[in-house]
Amino acid sequence: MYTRHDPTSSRTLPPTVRIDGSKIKDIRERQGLTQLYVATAVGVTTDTISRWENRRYPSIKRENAMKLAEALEVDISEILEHEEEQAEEQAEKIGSDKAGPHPGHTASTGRRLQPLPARPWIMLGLAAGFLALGLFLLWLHGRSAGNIVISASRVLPSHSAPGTTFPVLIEVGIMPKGPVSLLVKEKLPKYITALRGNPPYSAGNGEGMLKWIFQGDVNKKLFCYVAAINNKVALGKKLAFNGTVTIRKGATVSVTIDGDAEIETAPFHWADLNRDNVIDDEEILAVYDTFSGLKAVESDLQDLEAIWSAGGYKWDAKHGKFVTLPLKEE
Amino acid sequence: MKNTIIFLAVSVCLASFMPFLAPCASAQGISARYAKIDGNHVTVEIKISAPAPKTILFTQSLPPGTTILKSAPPYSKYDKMTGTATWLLKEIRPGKRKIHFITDKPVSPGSISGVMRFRDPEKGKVMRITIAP
Repeated sequence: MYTRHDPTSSRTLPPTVRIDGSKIKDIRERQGLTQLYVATAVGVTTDTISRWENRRYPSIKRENAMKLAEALEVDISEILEHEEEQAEEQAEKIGSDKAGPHPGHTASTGRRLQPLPARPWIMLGLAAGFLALGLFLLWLHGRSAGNIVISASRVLPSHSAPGTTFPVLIEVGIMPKGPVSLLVKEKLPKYITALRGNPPYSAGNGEGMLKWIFQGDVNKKLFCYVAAINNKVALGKKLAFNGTVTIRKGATVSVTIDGDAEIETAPFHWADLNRDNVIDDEEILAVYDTFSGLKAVESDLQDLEAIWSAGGYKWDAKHGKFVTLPLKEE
Repeated sequence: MKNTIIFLAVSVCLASFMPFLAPCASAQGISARYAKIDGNHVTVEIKISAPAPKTILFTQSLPPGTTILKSAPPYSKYDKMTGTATWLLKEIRPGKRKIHFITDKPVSPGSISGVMRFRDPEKGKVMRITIAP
């Protein structure tokens, strides 16, 4: 069950509307969306989005405001300037400029403030009541989001050699199929650097954080990247990966990426599952079945095929690479 | 009585063609056979139905001392010790794929065989099909 924005809320809008720049920025960042994404969805430039966000209440075309609300997946009323808030702020400002607030009244509207309850336990009771209501609403929201079933799984080799590269695959499944916005975040461990991705990732704020934003109508999506292990890391070290997938499809749901989460540094090729310095037929079949067709991995697969057809390999620790060897004659 | 005789006659006719039909090995919607063995020209035909595996490995065993002069597509690996050539067929789609190769000496149908391996696209299990002329 998805919550749809009420289009009737925008029917009575004038041709130009004033939007709340800071609120738009807040919503966009909370949703994990880039200015580029929003600009593309609205059909304007990133400069325009930046201008809208940085000015307090810019006036924009009604159509653009509607597209903006749609891109941010909020009701249009949430991004419009609220006259009441503005009036209150202005009044507060005026009030503070004058002699100060009158006891028991707001400076602007003259509304009487409710007196504080005489007994603290009433306050506590009310707070507990609101908390329970909030939790109940949250639970209801979770249940409605629960109609979307997401699975996120990582395929990571069990080992790889220092100085070499290895591929990582994140498979996201979404049920039911339909228009969806995905945000995938992958935190890389120390000593690991991402080199290329398929689709291309954007580096996040923190070091070693990869991000993908995807919007489309799918029930399965693959995110792949090739990473390198620092040449100086010792053998036998276990490096842990972790990541999350956030999906917006009416409701917002976030899941942890499960599957493989650890890679060990070892003097063997990542595709050499039995660590015998030979890439055998079944090993190469497994690799091609998992990673073929992914552009980011193409050159790694060519190198691997060269090792497989040569017969064997050894790890050159000094240069952090694999050297192909002919098959041993028995 | 007349119908029975006609039925038997047709059956005998059909059965007499059986030795001329190349045996076809199949598993999980994939089948393979030697479509042609003519002197030193050999053609293997692989039929693939959906869902297709992503990759197929075909290994051809040759008589001792026989080598492949030319092949289309080119073989990926050749093991002198075992006299086997292996093709790594990628980007498999439903339909037909052919492997054609020319040996340095004529080969007889009884002296060659091949093994096709792929992963079942639904179960992930490695499947193995042996083909012989």
